Amino acid sequence: MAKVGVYVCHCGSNIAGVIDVSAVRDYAETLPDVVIARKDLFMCSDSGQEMVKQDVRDGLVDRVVVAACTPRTHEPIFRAAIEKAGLNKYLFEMANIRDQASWVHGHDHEGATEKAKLVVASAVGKARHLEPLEDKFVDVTDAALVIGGGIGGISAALELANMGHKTFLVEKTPSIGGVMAQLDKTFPTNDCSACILTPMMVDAYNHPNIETLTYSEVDDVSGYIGNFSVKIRRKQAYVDWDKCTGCGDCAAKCPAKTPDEFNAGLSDRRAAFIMFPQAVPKKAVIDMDACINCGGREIGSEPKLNKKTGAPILAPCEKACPADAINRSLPLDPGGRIKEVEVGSIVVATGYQVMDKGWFKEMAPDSPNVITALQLERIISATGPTEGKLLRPSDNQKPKTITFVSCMGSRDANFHTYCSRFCCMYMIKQARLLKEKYPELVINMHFIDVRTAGKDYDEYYTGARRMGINFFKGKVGGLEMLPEDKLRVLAYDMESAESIEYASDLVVLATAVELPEDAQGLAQKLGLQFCGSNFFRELHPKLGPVETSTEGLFLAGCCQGPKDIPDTVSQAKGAAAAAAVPLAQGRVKIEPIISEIIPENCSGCGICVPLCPYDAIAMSEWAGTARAAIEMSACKGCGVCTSACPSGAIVLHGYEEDQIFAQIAALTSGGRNHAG
Amino acid sequence: MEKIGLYLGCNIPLKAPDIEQSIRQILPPLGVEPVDLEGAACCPAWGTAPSFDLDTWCAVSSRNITLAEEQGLDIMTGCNSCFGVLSEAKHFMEDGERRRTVNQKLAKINRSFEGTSDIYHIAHVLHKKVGMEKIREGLKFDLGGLKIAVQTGCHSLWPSDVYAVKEENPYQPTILKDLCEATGAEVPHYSRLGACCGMGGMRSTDMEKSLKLFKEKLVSIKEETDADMIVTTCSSCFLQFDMSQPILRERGEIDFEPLPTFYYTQLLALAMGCDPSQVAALSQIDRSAIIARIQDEQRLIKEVA
Repeated sequence: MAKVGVYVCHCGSNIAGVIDVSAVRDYAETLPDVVIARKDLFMCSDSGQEMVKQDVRDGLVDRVVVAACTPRTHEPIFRAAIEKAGLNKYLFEMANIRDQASWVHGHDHEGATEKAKLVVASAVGKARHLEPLEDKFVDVTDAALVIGGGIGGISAALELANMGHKTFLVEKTPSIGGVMAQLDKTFPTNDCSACILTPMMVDAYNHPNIETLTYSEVDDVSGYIGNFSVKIRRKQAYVDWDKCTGCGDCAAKCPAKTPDEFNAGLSDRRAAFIMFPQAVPKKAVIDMDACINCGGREIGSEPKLNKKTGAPILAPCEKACPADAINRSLPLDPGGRIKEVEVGSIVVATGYQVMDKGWFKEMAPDSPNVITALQLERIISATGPTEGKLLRPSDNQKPKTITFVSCMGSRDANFHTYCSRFCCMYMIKQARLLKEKYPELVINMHFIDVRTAGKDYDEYYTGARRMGINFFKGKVGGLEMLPEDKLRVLAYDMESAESIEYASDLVVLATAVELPEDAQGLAQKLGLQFCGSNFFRELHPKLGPVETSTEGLFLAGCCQGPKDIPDTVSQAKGAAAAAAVPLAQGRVKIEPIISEIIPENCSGCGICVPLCPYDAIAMSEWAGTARAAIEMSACKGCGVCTSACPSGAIVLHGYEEDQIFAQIAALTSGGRNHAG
Repeated sequence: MEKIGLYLGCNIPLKAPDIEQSIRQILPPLGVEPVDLEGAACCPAWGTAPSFDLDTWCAVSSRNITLAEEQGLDIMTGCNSCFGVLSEAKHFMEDGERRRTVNQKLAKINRSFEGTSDIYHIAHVLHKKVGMEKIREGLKFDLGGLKIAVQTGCHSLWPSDVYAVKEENPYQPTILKDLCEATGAEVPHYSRLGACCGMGGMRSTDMEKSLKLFKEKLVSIKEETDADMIVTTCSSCFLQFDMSQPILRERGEIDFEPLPTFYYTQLLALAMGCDPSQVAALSQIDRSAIIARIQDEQRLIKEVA
């Protein structure tokens, strides 16, 4: 006979504010095999845990049910407690009377109390049938993968590498650096973005423990925490990077033009190009989508020979390269090549994109003088298309009036309801930098609210007001195109409660931060989930901000939600620390709540094999006949195979048939079935 | 010839029958046969049923639409208000619950709304069904060198979601611009292109506010384009431009002569060689000079002539 102890938690007022905890405790006492029922203000507190431990130590109970909150956060705590007291930790069951009763039935105290009793009865029903289980362990590959080479990915990679772990840093563009490399200066200290970032890029690239793979994308991920196999596609650069010295001669000779992504489309780059002057690694790439094949021969075909001299007629890029790194006659695979790596944990730091101005039809998107804030960043950057001079795109003239519009696509039910968090600060930064450089420039900034929460941020904002920058509270309804490529700003000023109109030479839209389109594909490969704002979902919004629901997979930076550089670096270092845990331990625990095949009962039909979402089941031989076999380390315990097996030959430990039937019996009998 | 139900509305036949004439005269040569929807009632106009009862609005609009449905025709109207009212009603009728309620009312007169007829503005018919090329082929006079400021009017733009034919960007409409450019005329941009002309409910309730808004728009047209004329596809905007310019001029609020204003089919009819006394006869602003310029012999297109 099992000796079940039931412990009901008040959770302060979270549960006790709705549910009559004493009534639930009294009821629990009447349930079969329950030998003790107690309650406490906070069961997870030291005294609460001690109460359970003491009962175990005293031999009073050998099965424990805690009626409290969610097992997602608290099951591990109580399992650890009873284990310490000497009981197998899987002889524990949690009854969630907070999420499933007090929180959802706050309006109906009596009903919630009755439901809590049922939930407890169900947990007790299961607890009576619990069997001890043993944790299993597998060895870990001591290496990490960081996806995304922006400031988040670089920070995480450096952190992991400095802890002594081999780290692969994968970046889809030809250089690491990310959006931060495109920025001019950074708030709230106005230090030059390149000056603080470039040394970190070089450190990461030269770190003995980091293998930087740029112009590469993750093609496929399989495996589990401790043992991921990753296929990385190294895209075809059409330049031999072992030879390329980054001189840029190929770009100088290339006649094909295409919009320069690094300058946010404000200028053109060549098809053969180096991403930006401080690129790391500084290597050239030929963008075949933009290449006009000016040499007139297919890639992979031999050059024609000069009829007089017999010398091969090379394409301009081939001819220009002093290092002999470009050879268009090689049969290069346009798909690049696959590099396979084994890692123990993965940090995803894939960053963000800003919305295109084309979404905002009321904002005269056809006007060249309506730009996104990232484009302004390039204009004011010394490495940008105007070498840092404020010139408007339509005529390269210096504007006299410039307008900033906040919350374009953020806090807007038509696009994204969330706040993009760092736009207020970067707009103020841009305005301050411009006002310092051009005191006569009229700067009008339109905000719904100015949000400058952060260390030294509000001082930065009030400083901007003192500099003579104009702040308007209220929305900009639209822009109208005036002669000479000016724009009429139609806005509302809440302070004067009036509509205002004025002509502006340049309008900057702070467009919303969102996940890049290709993030969807990556999420599928990695098994990442999305949150309501369509960023990658963390395990817990407060207590698991860098973890995901897949063990061994961690998040850093804007892919998890909009955040500025300080927050991104903090989260990246946190993610790196979390990712290092399994690597440092050298082995990871496999929870025994997984499926197992009873080979005597298996008919070898194979139905379960394709059903497994984790590819954990394969056919093998047992006693000379075909039988399904489950790879323990790949099984996640989802139970799909267990419920599908026509022979009932698959047991899901922790959710065995008699346990589940006992739960159902308790629920369907209104909790009164004391026989089960 | 493609048949299409002609829903006239009230503004055009009562206040501007020359616009109606222009519509009737230009369509057949362009391959479209307008079919009168006999028994058509009020659309019903903004400020009537649409302001107080959605089901009543939908019932009256749906009855009008069924007149076309029973003949297997789509509906075309020249009035922006009618276009907006009928299109929005059709949109509301996509809701199953609403359709059941309204069809119960229509059953009393043995009618049932099926949703089989699309609602078009005449500008949409000309732009999408006839096409620029056919319009150019039908011209008798080439309007090259003339400058037109266009006024699309709100109710064929907003709410863009409910319309069968949409502008790519309703803030920067191009359909009317394309139609005017098909005549050879130049259509310069002006900043207040998307602004309201001040007609409709505003003019009937607050004349001064209406004139203030109208003046802003008019000044933007004059200063930024120096247009020879204004062309609109909204019969209400037409009335505002034709009625209110003389008022502003009389008050000394504008220092230029009122700009002659045409409904688009009037302009096209003139360019196709129709008789101005039939297709462009009624206006407060004297249009004889600009009509003479449009139908100047030197503009005759040789192949047609």
